[in-house]
Amino acid sequence: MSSVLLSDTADRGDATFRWIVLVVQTFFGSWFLVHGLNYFVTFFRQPPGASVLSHELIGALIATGLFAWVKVVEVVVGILLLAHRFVPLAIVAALPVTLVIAYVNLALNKDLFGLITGTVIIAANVLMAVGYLDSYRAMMRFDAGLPGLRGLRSLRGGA
Amino acid sequence: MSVLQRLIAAVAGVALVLFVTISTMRTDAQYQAFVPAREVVQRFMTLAFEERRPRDAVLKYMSPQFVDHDPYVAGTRESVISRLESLDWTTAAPRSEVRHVIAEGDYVVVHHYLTRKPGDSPIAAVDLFRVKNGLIVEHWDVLQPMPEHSANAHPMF
Repeated sequence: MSSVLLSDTADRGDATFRWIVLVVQTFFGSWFLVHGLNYFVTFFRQPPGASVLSHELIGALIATGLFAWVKVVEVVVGILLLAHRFVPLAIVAALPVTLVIAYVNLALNKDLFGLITGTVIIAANVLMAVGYLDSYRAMMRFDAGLPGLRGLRSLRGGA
Repeated sequence: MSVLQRLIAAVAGVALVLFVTISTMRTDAQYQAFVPAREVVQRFMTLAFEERRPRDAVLKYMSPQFVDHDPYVAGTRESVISRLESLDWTTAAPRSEVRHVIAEGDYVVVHHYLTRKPGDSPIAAVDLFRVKNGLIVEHWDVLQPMPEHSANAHPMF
């Protein structure tokens, strides 16, 4: 009896967490898609940075062309998360962009809006990663053995 | 989740992100405070000389508390506007060709080839600006008229 109750509670907890992750995934995907596309089609003015240092950093990224690649990553990640395809891969691809956005907001801008933005984006990325943690378990082996062609063969459907 | 549910969720997510982004966006005046000193001065020079809008340039990029150390003006922002507007901007001069810009912290030095009036001797000018919160708050200048005949084998610019 008690094991059935525990199982029901665990199922409800699992379902609740699943919905939370899906909501965060939708919000995060929309965030990346909108801000990524904005660089190419301009829905709103690109925020130039809320401190002198972040203004200079964003200016340097734009001047070197690196910003466009960051925005391409954002668009691709946004589409994958919203389409619910290759989600664990998209979450990992988002992480470097997330860290840069969080650093700009928390370490450079240092205002209330930056504190909220930086915290929310890291929390969202981590929460999504936890939601798909089973996909990353193979990466967490202390000893991954020797490298080889197993991965390529398995991609082709081999053993 | 069905495809339709996913589509509705995506549209709602995009609408929410657009709403949050646009409603929390700072104004141009607020962002101006974060513009680096070098860029402030370059924008000022461009608006004043290239776009030939000296009054707008002064009002946009010079602080109301601006102090000028030029002995030929009273030293306020209005006195700079009066000085600049006393020049004839319908001709090719006043003209400024910036050759060097050096920035260090809040200070920006502009070395430029300045012509005030058509037919006047050009001036080798060095302007020093101090910038605070995205606005020019102080200015000094050193002006050297360029002689028609130079004893020096090397040109001034």
